[in-house]
Amino acid sequence: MLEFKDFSKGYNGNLIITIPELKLAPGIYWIRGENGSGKSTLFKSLAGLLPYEGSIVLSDNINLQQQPLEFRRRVNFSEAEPLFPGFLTAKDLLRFVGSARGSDVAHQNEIASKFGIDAFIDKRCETYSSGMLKKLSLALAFLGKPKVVILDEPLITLDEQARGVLLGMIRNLEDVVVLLSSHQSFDTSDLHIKEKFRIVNKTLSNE
Amino acid sequence: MNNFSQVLTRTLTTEFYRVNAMFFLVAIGFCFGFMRGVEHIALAGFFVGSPWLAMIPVGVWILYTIKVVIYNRREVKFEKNWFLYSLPLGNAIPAYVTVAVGQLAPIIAYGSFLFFFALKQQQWLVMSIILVSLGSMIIITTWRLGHSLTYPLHEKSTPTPIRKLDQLFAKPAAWIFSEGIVRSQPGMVYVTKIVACLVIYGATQLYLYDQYDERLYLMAACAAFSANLALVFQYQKLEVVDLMMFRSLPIPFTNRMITFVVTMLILCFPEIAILATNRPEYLSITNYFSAILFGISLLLAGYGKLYVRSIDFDSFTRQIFFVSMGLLLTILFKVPILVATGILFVAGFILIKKNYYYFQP
Repeated sequence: MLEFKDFSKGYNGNLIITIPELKLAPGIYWIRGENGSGKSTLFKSLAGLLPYEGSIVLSDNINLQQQPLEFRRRVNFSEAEPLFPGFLTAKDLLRFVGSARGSDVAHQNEIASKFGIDAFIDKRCETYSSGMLKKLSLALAFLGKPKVVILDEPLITLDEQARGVLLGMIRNLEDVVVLLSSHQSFDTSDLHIKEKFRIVNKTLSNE
Repeated sequence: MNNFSQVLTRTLTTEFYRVNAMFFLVAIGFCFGFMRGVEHIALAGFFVGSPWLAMIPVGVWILYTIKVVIYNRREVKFEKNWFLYSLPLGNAIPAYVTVAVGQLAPIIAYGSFLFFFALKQQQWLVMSIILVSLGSMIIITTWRLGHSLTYPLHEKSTPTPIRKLDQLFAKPAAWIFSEGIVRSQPGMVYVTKIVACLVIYGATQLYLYDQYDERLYLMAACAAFSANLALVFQYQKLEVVDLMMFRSLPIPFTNRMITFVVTMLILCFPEIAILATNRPEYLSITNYFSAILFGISLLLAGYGKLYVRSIDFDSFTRQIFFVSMGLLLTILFKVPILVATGILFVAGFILIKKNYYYFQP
Protein backbone atom coordinates (compact mmCIF):
# COMPACT_ATOMS: atom_id res chain seq x y z
CA MET A 1 0.00 0.00 0.00
CA LEU A 2 1.20 3.47 -0.89
CA GLU A 3 -0.47 6.41 0.78
CA PHE A 4 -0.29 10.13 0.05
CA LYS A 5 -1.62 12.61 2.55
CA ASP A 6 -1.69 16.37 1.99
CA PHE A 7 1.08 15.92 -0.53
CA SER A 8 2.14 18.99 -2.46
CA LYS A 9 5.19 19.96 -4.43
CA GLY A 10 6.09 23.34 -5.83
CA TYR A 11 9.10 25.25 -7.06
CA ASN A 12 9.74 28.75 -5.73
CA GLY A 13 6.22 29.08 -4.40
CA ASN A 14 4.56 27.84 -7.62
CA LEU A 15 2.47 24.76 -6.97
CA ILE A 16 3.21 21.97 -9.43
CA ILE A 17 1.13 19.12 -8.06
CA THR A 18 -0.95 18.35 -5.00
CA ILE A 19 -2.59 15.15 -3.80
CA PRO A 20 -4.84 15.72 -0.77
CA GLU A 21 -5.38 12.02 -0.08
CA LEU A 22 -4.75 8.88 -2.08
CA LYS A 23 -4.24 5.21 -1.21
CA LEU A 24 -2.87 2.83 -3.79
CA ALA A 25 -3.12 -0.92 -3.21
CA PRO A 26 -0.69 -3.24 -5.06
CA GLY A 27 -1.38 -3.21 -8.78
CA ILE A 28 -0.54 -1.31 -11.91
CA TYR A 29 -1.48 2.35 -12.22
CA TRP A 30 -1.17 4.45 -15.32
CA ILE A 31 -0.68 8.17 -14.82
CA ARG A 32 -1.21 10.37 -17.82
CA GLY A 33 -0.68 14.04 -18.32
CA GLU A 34 0.58 16.56 -20.80
CA ASN A 35 4.20 17.66 -20.94
CA GLY A 36 5.00 19.73 -17.87
CA SER A 37 1.93 18.54 -15.98
CA GLY A 38 4.08 17.36 -13.05
CA LYS A 39 4.35 13.60 -13.62
CA SER A 40 8.12 13.51 -13.34
CA THR A 41 8.09 15.90 -10.37
CA LEU A 42 5.63 13.60 -8.58
CA PHE A 43 7.77 10.56 -9.35
CA LYS A 44 11.01 12.21 -8.28
CA SER A 45 9.40 13.28 -5.01
CA LEU A 46 8.19 9.74 -4.47
CA ALA A 47 11.67 8.39 -5.20
CA GLY A 48 13.11 10.70 -2.53
CA LEU A 49 14.94 12.92 -4.99
CA LEU A 50 12.95 16.10 -4.35
CA PRO A 51 11.66 17.52 -1.06
CA TYR A 52 7.90 18.02 -0.71
CA GLU A 53 5.17 18.97 1.76
CA GLY A 54 2.85 16.42 3.35
CA SER A 55 3.50 12.73 3.77
CA ILE A 56 4.11 9.68 1.65
CA VAL A 57 3.78 6.43 3.58
CA LEU A 58 4.21 2.80 2.63
CA SER A 59 2.57 -0.15 4.35
CA ASP A 60 4.27 -1.01 7.66
CA ASN A 61 4.00 2.72 8.33
CA ILE A 62 7.25 3.51 6.55
CA ASN A 63 7.40 7.22 5.95
CA LEU A 64 9.74 8.65 3.35
CA GLN A 65 10.67 11.62 5.51
CA GLN A 66 11.05 9.70 8.76
CA GLN A 67 12.60 6.47 7.52
CA PRO A 68 14.38 7.51 4.33
CA LEU A 69 16.53 4.40 4.18
CA GLU A 70 13.75 1.86 4.68
CA PHE A 71 11.57 3.74 2.22
CA ARG A 72 14.27 3.80 -0.43
CA ARG A 73 14.83 0.08 0.01
CA ARG A 74 11.25 -0.48 -1.12
CA VAL A 75 10.96 2.07 -3.94
CA ASN A 76 12.67 1.70 -7.32
CA PHE A 77 12.60 4.42 -9.93
CA SER A 78 13.47 4.63 -13.60
CA GLU A 79 13.74 8.08 -15.12
CA ALA A 80 12.12 9.18 -18.37
CA GLU A 81 15.41 10.18 -19.94
CA PRO A 82 18.12 8.45 -17.93
CA LEU A 83 21.65 9.78 -17.82
CA PHE A 84 24.62 8.07 -16.24
CA PRO A 85 28.26 9.13 -15.97
CA GLY A 86 29.87 8.16 -19.27
CA PHE A 87 32.82 6.36 -17.69
CA LEU A 88 30.69 3.76 -15.94
CA THR A 89 29.77 0.45 -17.55
CA ALA A 90 26.39 -1.27 -17.26
CA LYS A 91 28.13 -3.81 -15.03
CA ASP A 92 29.39 -1.07 -12.70
CA LEU A 93 25.87 0.28 -12.32
CA LEU A 94 24.20 -3.12 -11.98
CA ARG A 95 26.65 -4.20 -9.27
CA PHE A 96 26.50 -0.83 -7.51
CA VAL A 97 22.72 -0.47 -7.46
CA GLY A 98 22.27 -4.24 -7.01
CA SER A 99 24.43 -4.36 -3.91
CA ALA A 100 22.63 -1.32 -2.45
CA ARG A 101 19.27 -2.94 -3.11
CA GLY A 102 20.29 -6.39 -1.86
CA SER A 103 20.11 -8.09 -5.24
CA ASP A 104 22.63 -10.88 -5.83
CA VAL A 105 24.83 -11.05 -8.91
CA ALA A 106 22.83 -13.93 -10.42
CA HIS A 107 19.65 -11.86 -10.25
CA GLN A 108 21.43 -8.83 -11.72
CA ASN A 109 22.72 -10.93 -14.60
CA GLU A 110 19.32 -12.49 -15.17
CA ILE A 111 17.65 -9.09 -15.51
CA ALA A 112 20.50 -7.81 -17.68
CA SER A 113 20.10 -10.81 -19.92
CA LYS A 114 16.33 -10.35 -20.22
CA PHE A 115 16.79 -6.78 -21.42
CA GLY A 116 19.67 -7.75 -23.70
CA ILE A 117 22.10 -5.67 -21.67
CA ASP A 118 24.56 -8.57 -21.39
CA ALA A 119 25.61 -7.78 -24.95
CA PHE A 120 27.09 -4.44 -23.87
CA ILE A 121 27.53 -4.98 -20.13
CA ASP A 122 31.27 -4.16 -20.17
CA LYS A 123 30.97 -1.13 -22.42
CA ARG A 124 30.93 2.39 -21.04
CA CYS A 125 27.71 4.40 -20.93
CA GLU A 126 29.28 7.12 -23.10
CA THR A 127 29.07 4.68 -26.01
CA TYR A 128 25.36 3.82 -25.49
CA SER A 129 22.42 4.85 -27.60
CA SER A 130 19.37 6.35 -25.86
CA GLY A 131 17.61 2.98 -26.17
CA MET A 132 20.50 1.19 -24.43
CA LEU A 133 20.47 3.77 -21.63
CA LYS A 134 16.73 3.31 -21.24
CA LYS A 135 17.08 -0.49 -21.04
CA LEU A 136 19.77 -0.12 -18.39
CA SER A 137 17.67 2.30 -16.35
CA LEU A 138 14.67 -0.05 -16.52
CA ALA A 139 16.80 -3.04 -15.55
CA LEU A 140 18.06 -1.13 -12.49
CA ALA A 141 14.44 -0.47 -11.48
CA PHE A 142 13.77 -4.21 -11.18
CA LEU A 143 16.67 -5.00 -8.84
CA GLY A 144 16.02 -6.00 -5.23
CA LYS A 145 12.60 -6.56 -3.74
CA PRO A 146 10.72 -3.32 -4.31
CA LYS A 147 7.22 -2.63 -3.05
CA VAL A 148 6.82 0.33 -5.39
CA VAL A 149 8.22 0.51 -8.90
CA ILE A 150 8.04 3.86 -10.63
CA LEU A 151 8.60 3.88 -14.37
CA ASP A 152 8.57 7.32 -15.92
CA GLU A 153 7.76 7.09 -19.64
CA PRO A 154 9.01 3.48 -19.76
CA LEU A 155 8.25 2.85 -23.41
CA ILE A 156 10.01 5.72 -25.12
CA THR A 157 13.06 4.70 -27.20
CA LEU A 158 12.48 0.99 -26.47
CA ASP A 159 12.48 -1.53 -29.30
CA GLU A 160 9.61 -4.03 -29.71
CA GLN A 161 11.48 -6.89 -28.07
CA ALA A 162 12.48 -4.88 -25.01
CA ARG A 163 8.96 -3.54 -24.78
CA GLY A 164 7.66 -7.12 -24.60
CA VAL A 165 10.23 -7.99 -21.92
CA LEU A 166 9.31 -4.91 -19.89
CA LEU A 167 5.57 -5.59 -20.01
CA GLY A 168 6.23 -9.22 -19.03
CA MET A 169 8.34 -8.16 -16.06
CA ILE A 170 5.71 -5.69 -14.92
CA ARG A 171 3.06 -8.41 -15.17
CA ASN A 172 5.17 -10.74 -13.05
CA LEU A 173 5.53 -8.29 -10.18
CA GLU A 174 3.49 -9.48 -7.25
CA ASP A 175 2.25 -7.40 -4.36
CA VAL A 176 3.92 -4.32 -5.85
CA VAL A 177 2.52 -0.88 -6.62
CA VAL A 178 3.62 -0.08 -10.17
CA LEU A 179 3.30 3.51 -11.32
CA LEU A 180 3.66 4.04 -15.05
CA SER A 181 3.56 7.38 -16.74
CA SER A 182 3.04 8.09 -20.35
CA HIS A 183 1.75 11.04 -22.27
CA GLN A 184 1.06 8.77 -25.21
CA SER A 185 -1.51 6.00 -25.50
CA PHE A 186 -0.26 2.44 -25.61
CA ASP A 187 -1.95 -0.91 -25.87
CA THR A 188 -2.66 -1.97 -22.30
CA SER A 189 -4.54 -5.14 -23.17
CA ASP A 190 -1.49 -7.14 -22.03
CA LEU A 191 -1.41 -5.42 -18.66
CA HIS A 192 -4.06 -5.48 -16.04
CA ILE A 193 -4.24 -1.78 -15.26
CA LYS A 194 -5.90 -1.33 -11.92
CA GLU A 195 -6.64 2.35 -12.31
CA LYS A 196 -5.86 5.18 -14.70
CA PHE A 197 -5.19 8.70 -13.51
CA ARG A 198 -4.79 11.95 -15.33
CA ILE A 199 -3.12 15.03 -13.94
CA VAL A 200 -5.69 17.80 -14.27
CA ASN A 201 -5.58 21.15 -12.50
CA LYS A 202 -2.40 20.15 -10.68
CA THR A 203 -3.87 17.06 -9.07
CA LEU A 204 -4.60 13.44 -9.89
CA SER A 205 -8.09 12.58 -11.09
CA ASN A 206 -9.50 9.22 -12.10
CA GLU A 207 -10.07 8.72 -15.80
CA MET B 1 28.70 40.41 -40.64
CA ASN B 2 26.48 37.89 -42.40
CA ASN B 3 23.97 35.62 -40.74
CA PHE B 4 26.41 32.68 -40.52
CA SER B 5 29.01 34.83 -38.77
CA GLN B 6 26.48 36.29 -36.37
CA VAL B 7 25.15 32.92 -35.28
CA LEU B 8 28.57 31.33 -35.03
CA THR B 9 30.00 34.31 -33.14
CA ARG B 10 27.19 34.25 -30.61
CA THR B 11 27.42 30.49 -30.22
CA LEU B 12 31.17 30.15 -29.97
CA THR B 13 33.01 33.47 -29.49
CA THR B 14 30.70 35.11 -26.96
CA GLU B 15 30.33 31.86 -25.05
CA PHE B 16 34.10 31.34 -25.08
CA TYR B 17 34.67 34.65 -23.30
CA ARG B 18 31.75 34.08 -20.94
CA VAL B 19 32.94 30.60 -19.92
CA ASN B 20 36.52 31.82 -19.50
CA ALA B 21 35.61 35.12 -17.83
CA MET B 22 37.58 34.22 -14.70
CA PHE B 23 40.69 33.36 -16.72
CA PHE B 24 40.56 36.69 -18.57
CA LEU B 25 39.87 38.63 -15.38
CA VAL B 26 42.95 37.10 -13.77
CA ALA B 27 45.01 37.83 -16.91
CA ILE B 28 43.77 41.45 -17.06
CA GLY B 29 44.35 41.86 -13.31
CA PHE B 30 47.89 40.58 -13.72
CA CYS B 31 48.71 42.69 -16.78
CA PHE B 32 47.16 45.96 -15.68
CA GLY B 33 47.29 45.55 -11.93
CA PHE B 34 50.72 44.15 -11.18
CA MET B 35 52.60 45.57 -14.15
CA ARG B 36 53.04 49.25 -14.94
CA GLY B 37 53.36 50.69 -18.44
CA VAL B 38 57.12 50.99 -18.20
CA GLU B 39 57.40 47.33 -17.26
CA HIS B 40 55.26 46.33 -20.23
CA ILE B 41 57.58 48.26 -22.52
CA ALA B 42 60.64 46.67 -20.91
CA LEU B 43 59.14 43.21 -21.30
CA ALA B 44 58.21 43.85 -24.94
CA GLY B 45 61.76 45.10 -25.57
CA PHE B 46 63.06 41.87 -24.03
CA PHE B 47 60.79 39.66 -26.17
CA VAL B 48 61.69 41.34 -29.44
CA GLY B 49 65.39 41.42 -28.52
CA SER B 50 66.12 38.21 -30.42
CA PRO B 51 64.21 35.57 -32.42
CA TRP B 52 64.81 33.04 -29.61
CA LEU B 53 63.28 35.31 -27.00
CA ALA B 54 60.34 35.98 -29.33
CA MET B 55 59.56 32.26 -29.04
CA ILE B 56 58.46 32.84 -25.42
CA PRO B 57 55.27 34.76 -26.32
CA VAL B 58 54.80 32.52 -29.35
CA GLY B 59 54.82 29.50 -27.00
CA VAL B 60 52.13 31.13 -24.88
CA TRP B 61 50.09 31.88 -28.00
CA ILE B 62 50.34 28.25 -29.07
CA LEU B 63 48.94 27.14 -25.70
CA TYR B 64 46.14 29.69 -26.03
CA THR B 65 45.35 28.49 -29.57
CA ILE B 66 45.21 24.88 -28.36
CA LYS B 67 42.78 26.00 -25.67
CA VAL B 68 40.58 27.67 -28.32
CA VAL B 69 40.68 24.69 -30.68
CA ILE B 70 39.80 22.23 -27.89
CA TYR B 71 37.01 24.51 -26.72
CA ASN B 72 35.49 24.74 -30.21
CA ARG B 73 35.75 21.00 -30.81
CA ARG B 74 34.06 20.25 -27.50
CA GLU B 75 31.40 22.93 -27.94
CA VAL B 76 30.22 21.83 -31.41
CA LYS B 77 29.77 18.29 -30.10
CA PHE B 78 27.10 19.37 -27.62
CA GLU B 79 23.66 18.37 -28.81
CA LYS B 80 22.38 21.93 -28.44
CA ASN B 81 24.91 23.01 -31.08
CA TRP B 82 24.21 20.30 -33.64
CA PHE B 83 22.30 22.83 -35.75
CA LEU B 84 25.73 24.24 -36.65
CA TYR B 85 26.42 21.16 -38.77
CA SER B 86 24.35 22.67 -41.55
CA LEU B 87 26.83 25.56 -41.78
CA PRO B 88 29.36 23.84 -44.06
CA LEU B 89 26.61 23.44 -46.65
CA GLY B 90 26.88 27.17 -47.40
CA ASN B 91 29.90 29.44 -47.74
CA ALA B 92 30.89 29.36 -44.10
CA ILE B 93 34.61 30.15 -44.36
CA PRO B 94 34.17 33.90 -43.61
CA ALA B 95 32.18 32.90 -40.53
CA TYR B 96 34.95 30.51 -39.39
CA VAL B 97 37.56 33.26 -39.88
CA THR B 98 35.40 35.75 -37.93
CA VAL B 99 35.15 33.33 -35.02
CA ALA B 100 38.84 32.47 -35.10
CA VAL B 101 39.87 36.13 -35.13
CA GLY B 102 37.36 36.92 -32.38
CA GLN B 103 38.60 34.15 -30.13
CA LEU B 104 42.27 34.85 -30.81
CA ALA B 105 41.77 38.63 -30.32
CA PRO B 106 43.85 38.82 -27.09
CA ILE B 107 46.93 37.27 -28.71
CA ILE B 108 46.41 39.22 -31.93
CA ALA B 109 46.31 42.44 -29.88
CA TYR B 110 49.47 41.60 -27.95
CA GLY B 111 51.13 40.28 -31.11
CA SER B 112 50.41 43.61 -32.87
CA PHE B 113 51.93 45.46 -29.91
CA LEU B 114 55.10 43.35 -30.18
CA PHE B 115 55.10 43.69 -33.97
CA PHE B 116 55.21 47.49 -33.86
CA PHE B 117 57.85 47.32 -31.15
CA ALA B 118 59.98 45.08 -33.35
CA LEU B 119 59.37 47.43 -36.28
CA LYS B 120 60.69 50.30 -34.18
CA GLN B 121 63.84 48.32 -33.42
CA GLN B 122 64.04 47.06 -37.02
CA GLN B 123 64.02 43.43 -35.91
CA TRP B 124 62.87 42.04 -39.28
CA LEU B 125 63.19 38.39 -38.34
CA VAL B 126 61.22 38.85 -35.13
CA MET B 127 58.53 40.68 -37.11
CA SER B 128 58.30 37.78 -39.53
CA ILE B 129 58.08 35.27 -36.66
CA ILE B 130 55.23 37.23 -35.11
CA LEU B 131 53.37 37.61 -38.40
CA VAL B 132 53.79 33.98 -39.43
CA SER B 133 52.84 32.74 -35.93
CA LEU B 134 49.67 34.79 -35.70
CA GLY B 135 48.70 34.00 -39.30
CA SER B 136 49.25 30.27 -38.72
CA MET B 137 47.22 30.32 -35.55
CA ILE B 138 44.28 32.00 -37.29
CA ILE B 139 44.49 29.51 -40.16
CA ILE B 140 44.76 26.50 -37.82
CA THR B 141 41.84 27.66 -35.66
CA THR B 142 39.73 28.31 -38.76
CA TRP B 143 40.64 24.96 -40.30
CA ARG B 144 39.98 22.98 -37.11
CA LEU B 145 36.62 24.67 -36.60
CA GLY B 146 35.61 23.93 -40.19
CA HIS B 147 36.83 20.36 -39.81
CA SER B 148 34.89 19.83 -36.57
CA LEU B 149 31.70 21.02 -38.24
CA THR B 150 32.24 19.14 -41.51
CA TYR B 151 33.25 15.83 -39.91
CA PRO B 152 31.33 15.63 -36.65
CA LEU B 153 32.32 12.48 -34.81
CA HIS B 154 29.97 11.57 -32.02
CA GLU B 155 31.10 8.02 -31.67
CA LYS B 156 33.08 7.41 -28.53
CA SER B 157 35.45 4.54 -28.23
CA THR B 158 37.18 3.22 -25.16
CA PRO B 159 40.90 2.42 -25.34
CA THR B 160 41.58 -1.34 -25.16
CA PRO B 161 43.50 -1.34 -21.82
CA ILE B 162 40.67 0.57 -20.14
CA ARG B 163 38.10 -1.75 -21.73
CA LYS B 164 40.00 -4.76 -20.35
CA LEU B 165 40.12 -3.12 -16.93
CA ASP B 166 36.37 -2.46 -17.08
CA GLN B 167 35.77 -6.14 -17.75
CA LEU B 168 37.79 -7.21 -14.72
CA PHE B 169 35.65 -5.78 -11.94
CA ALA B 170 32.80 -3.42 -11.10
CA LYS B 171 33.91 -0.13 -9.63
CA PRO B 172 33.23 0.53 -5.94
CA ALA B 173 31.48 3.76 -4.94
CA ALA B 174 34.63 5.65 -3.86
CA TRP B 175 36.26 4.79 -7.21
CA ILE B 176 33.18 6.01 -9.09
CA PHE B 177 33.23 9.35 -7.28
CA SER B 178 37.00 9.82 -7.55
CA GLU B 179 37.02 9.02 -11.25
CA GLY B 180 33.89 11.11 -11.82
CA ILE B 181 35.52 14.18 -10.27
CA VAL B 182 38.80 13.75 -12.13
CA ARG B 183 36.98 13.23 -15.42
CA SER B 184 34.54 16.09 -15.04
CA GLN B 185 37.12 18.67 -13.92
CA PRO B 186 40.61 17.41 -14.79
CA GLY B 187 42.09 20.92 -14.93
CA MET B 188 40.66 21.86 -11.56
CA VAL B 189 41.96 18.65 -9.97
CA TYR B 190 45.49 19.06 -11.31
CA VAL B 191 45.72 22.76 -10.46
CA THR B 192 44.34 22.11 -6.96
CA LYS B 193 46.88 19.33 -6.39
CA ILE B 194 49.80 21.37 -7.68
CA VAL B 195 48.88 24.49 -5.70
CA ALA B 196 48.08 22.58 -2.49
CA CYS B 197 51.31 20.56 -2.67
CA LEU B 198 53.38 23.67 -3.38
CA VAL B 199 51.82 25.46 -0.39
CA ILE B 200 52.71 22.55 1.90
CA TYR B 201 56.17 22.16 0.41
CA GLY B 202 56.88 25.90 0.60
CA ALA B 203 55.72 26.18 4.18
CA THR B 204 57.65 23.13 5.36
CA GLN B 205 60.83 24.46 3.69
CA LEU B 206 60.70 27.41 6.10
CA TYR B 207 61.36 24.99 8.96
CA LEU B 208 64.82 24.39 7.48
CA TYR B 209 65.87 27.99 8.07
CA ASP B 210 64.10 28.97 11.24
CA GLN B 211 62.48 27.54 14.31
CA TYR B 212 58.68 27.44 14.15
CA ASP B 213 56.13 25.51 16.18
CA GLU B 214 53.50 23.23 14.65
CA ARG B 215 51.19 26.11 13.71
CA LEU B 216 52.90 26.85 10.39
CA TYR B 217 52.63 23.16 9.43
CA LEU B 218 48.95 23.12 10.39
CA MET B 219 48.25 26.39 8.56
CA ALA B 220 49.78 24.94 5.40
CA ALA B 221 47.57 21.86 5.79
CA CYS B 222 44.56 24.13 6.34
CA ALA B 223 45.26 26.10 3.15
CA ALA B 224 45.86 22.90 1.17
CA PHE B 225 42.68 21.19 2.31
CA SER B 226 40.68 24.41 1.83
CA ALA B 227 41.73 24.34 -1.83
CA ASN B 228 40.32 20.81 -2.01
CA LEU B 229 36.88 22.11 -1.05
CA ALA B 230 36.51 22.84 -4.77
CA LEU B 231 36.60 19.07 -5.30
CA VAL B 232 33.98 18.61 -2.59
CA PHE B 233 31.73 20.88 -4.67
CA GLN B 234 32.24 18.54 -7.63
CA TYR B 235 31.56 15.51 -5.43
CA GLN B 236 28.20 16.92 -4.37
CA LYS B 237 27.36 17.93 -7.95
CA LEU B 238 28.10 14.40 -9.10
CA GLU B 239 25.94 13.05 -6.31
CA VAL B 240 22.87 15.20 -6.91
CA VAL B 241 23.02 15.82 -10.65
CA ASP B 242 25.10 13.39 -12.67
CA LEU B 243 24.52 10.35 -10.49
CA MET B 244 21.09 11.40 -9.30
CA MET B 245 19.92 7.90 -8.46
CA PHE B 246 22.63 7.63 -5.77
CA ARG B 247 20.50 9.54 -3.31
CA SER B 248 17.46 7.36 -4.03
CA LEU B 249 19.34 4.16 -3.18
CA PRO B 250 18.91 2.50 0.22
CA ILE B 251 22.51 3.09 1.26
CA PRO B 252 22.98 3.51 5.03
CA PHE B 253 24.06 6.98 6.08
CA THR B 254 27.31 5.67 7.59
CA ASN B 255 28.24 4.05 4.27
CA ARG B 256 27.60 7.32 2.46
CA MET B 257 29.91 9.10 4.90
CA ILE B 258 32.56 6.41 4.50
CA THR B 259 32.33 6.73 0.71
CA PHE B 260 32.84 10.48 1.01
CA VAL B 261 35.82 10.20 3.37
CA VAL B 262 37.50 7.44 1.32
CA THR B 263 36.99 9.45 -1.89
CA MET B 264 38.56 12.50 -0.27
CA LEU B 265 41.47 10.44 1.07
CA ILE B 266 42.09 9.13 -2.46
CA LEU B 267 41.87 12.60 -4.01
CA CYS B 268 44.01 14.18 -1.26
CA PHE B 269 46.67 11.48 -1.39
CA PRO B 270 49.31 13.86 -2.84
CA GLU B 271 48.79 16.36 0.01
CA ILE B 272 48.79 13.59 2.61
CA ALA B 273 52.01 12.20 1.16
CA ILE B 274 53.71 15.62 0.99
CA LEU B 275 52.66 16.35 4.58
CA ALA B 276 54.27 13.05 5.62
CA THR B 277 57.49 13.33 3.67
CA ASN B 278 58.08 16.98 4.55
CA ARG B 279 57.14 16.85 8.22
CA PRO B 280 59.86 18.72 10.14
CA GLU B 281 61.83 16.31 12.28
CA TYR B 282 61.09 18.03 15.55
CA LEU B 283 57.30 17.94 15.00
CA SER B 284 55.68 14.80 16.37
CA ILE B 285 53.73 12.27 14.32
CA THR B 286 50.65 13.44 16.26
CA ASN B 287 50.93 16.75 14.44
CA TYR B 288 50.83 14.89 11.13
CA PHE B 289 47.70 12.94 12.00
CA SER B 290 46.10 16.06 13.52
CA ALA B 291 46.67 17.88 10.22
CA ILE B 292 45.06 15.04 8.21
CA LEU B 293 42.10 14.77 10.58
CA PHE B 294 41.65 18.51 10.55
CA GLY B 295 41.71 18.53 6.73
CA ILE B 296 39.13 15.76 6.44
CA SER B 297 36.88 17.47 9.00
CA LEU B 298 37.12 20.68 6.98
CA LEU B 299 36.08 18.84 3.82
CA LEU B 300 33.21 17.16 5.66
CA ALA B 301 32.00 20.52 6.98
CA GLY B 302 32.16 21.96 3.45
CA TYR B 303 30.21 18.97 2.18
CA GLY B 304 27.57 19.55 4.86
CA LYS B 305 27.37 23.23 3.95
CA LEU B 306 26.63 22.34 0.33
CA TYR B 307 23.53 20.45 1.43
CA VAL B 308 22.05 23.42 3.29
CA ARG B 309 20.91 25.04 0.06
CA SER B 310 21.88 24.95 -3.58
CA ILE B 311 24.67 27.44 -4.36
CA ASP B 312 26.82 28.08 -7.40
CA PHE B 313 30.54 27.50 -7.51
CA ASP B 314 31.49 31.20 -7.32
CA SER B 315 29.46 31.75 -4.13
CA PHE B 316 30.95 28.59 -2.65
CA THR B 317 34.52 29.70 -3.38
CA ARG B 318 33.82 33.05 -1.72
CA GLN B 319 32.61 31.20 1.36
CA ILE B 320 35.68 28.95 1.26
CA PHE B 321 37.90 32.02 1.28
CA PHE B 322 36.32 33.51 4.40
CA VAL B 323 36.13 30.20 6.25
CA SER B 324 39.79 29.46 5.43
CA MET B 325 40.82 32.86 6.72
CA GLY B 326 38.89 32.22 9.93
CA LEU B 327 40.47 28.80 10.38
CA LEU B 328 43.96 30.15 9.74
CA LEU B 329 43.33 32.69 12.48
CA THR B 330 42.13 30.03 14.92
CA ILE B 331 45.36 28.11 14.32
CA LEU B 332 47.41 31.28 14.60
CA PHE B 333 45.80 32.13 17.93
CA LYS B 334 46.54 28.65 19.27
CA VAL B 335 43.02 27.28 19.42
CA PRO B 336 43.72 23.54 19.93
CA ILE B 337 43.52 21.85 16.53
CA LEU B 338 41.59 18.89 17.91
CA VAL B 339 38.89 21.24 19.20
CA ALA B 340 38.55 22.86 15.76
CA THR B 341 38.55 19.39 14.16
CA GLY B 342 35.83 18.18 16.51
CA ILE B 343 33.66 21.23 15.84
CA LEU B 344 34.03 20.83 12.07
CA PHE B 345 33.27 17.10 12.21
CA VAL B 346 30.15 17.62 14.31
CA ALA B 347 28.96 20.59 12.23
CA GLY B 348 29.46 18.69 8.99
CA PHE B 349 27.78 15.56 10.27
CA ILE B 350 24.75 17.45 11.61
CA LEU B 351 24.32 19.47 8.40
CA ILE B 352 24.49 16.38 6.21
CA LYS B 353 22.24 14.31 8.45
CA LYS B 354 19.67 17.11 8.60
CA ASN B 355 19.61 18.09 4.94
CA TYR B 356 20.84 15.16 2.86
CA TYR B 357 17.46 13.72 1.92
CA TYR B 358 15.66 17.06 1.68
CA PHE B 359 18.09 18.86 -0.57
CA GLN B 360 16.73 20.24 -3.82
CA PRO B 361 19.35 20.80 -6.53
